[in-house]
Amino acid sequence: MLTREQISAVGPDAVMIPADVQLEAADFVEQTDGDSGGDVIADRVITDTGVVVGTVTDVVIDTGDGSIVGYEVVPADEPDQRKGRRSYLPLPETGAVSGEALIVPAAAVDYVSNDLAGFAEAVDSYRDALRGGSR
Amino acid sequence: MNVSELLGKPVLDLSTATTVGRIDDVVLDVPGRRLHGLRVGKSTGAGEWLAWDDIKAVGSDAVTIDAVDRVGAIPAELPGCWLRGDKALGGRVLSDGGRELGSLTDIDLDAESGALQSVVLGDRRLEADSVQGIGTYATVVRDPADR
Repeated sequence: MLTREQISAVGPDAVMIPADVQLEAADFVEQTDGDSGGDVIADRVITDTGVVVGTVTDVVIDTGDGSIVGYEVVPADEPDQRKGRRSYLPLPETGAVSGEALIVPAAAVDYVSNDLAGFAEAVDSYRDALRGGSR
Repeated sequence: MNVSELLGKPVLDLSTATTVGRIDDVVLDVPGRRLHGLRVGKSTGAGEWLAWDDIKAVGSDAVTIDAVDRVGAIPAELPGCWLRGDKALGGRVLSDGGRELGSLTDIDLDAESGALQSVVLGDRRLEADSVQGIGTYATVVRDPADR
């Protein structure tokens, strides 16, 4: 397994690592994020007000610094989860995650983007709102 | 929010993102005209009781709480009967004049405050202030004018 710290760059065609990186077996990598070990794929996304928003299908990463900025989600009202549309949800500052669910503040749903191109703007708006700014 | 919608809903602990059980019964405080608390079936908490005041939100898909320790032992004394366990839901509805009006199909509550809004008898709905009591034998309401 590669940890985030071992990755030097994420390009459009390849993930780059320094030549001297030693890969570890996944079994030996310390798990840090609760029961799911940080694996959120297929988790249900639920607001803190008890409404299911959808299911996590992917994680959106800022290729500049490797940080997670959000999640790709199949909306709960999407009839065909394999072929259906995707939405993008900014990463909440707070909210627990388990192998079962990802909790997001109800306000985060207002910043869902329907395409990845517009997602960066949605993330910025959401972060502004969290800092007390306006949308 | 109807009581029938509440029953079966999962209780979600927001601190761990895990389900701690499912709502399987409800107690109303009829004199106070509000929901008093809920029983959490298959609870992973210390007991099966969740007081209404300890709930963070009631959503369309889950009841949320901020920590599993909100679920504790069922109080020795409750202000009313269990709506499902004591068969108040589905049971007879009597007027305070002793007339049988039908059976109690559902109870409508305000999802924000837990306030009793109305009782449902099939396609009829009687306002909360007409409810005199909800017990194991019958629900008693003030005799409606439209006989």
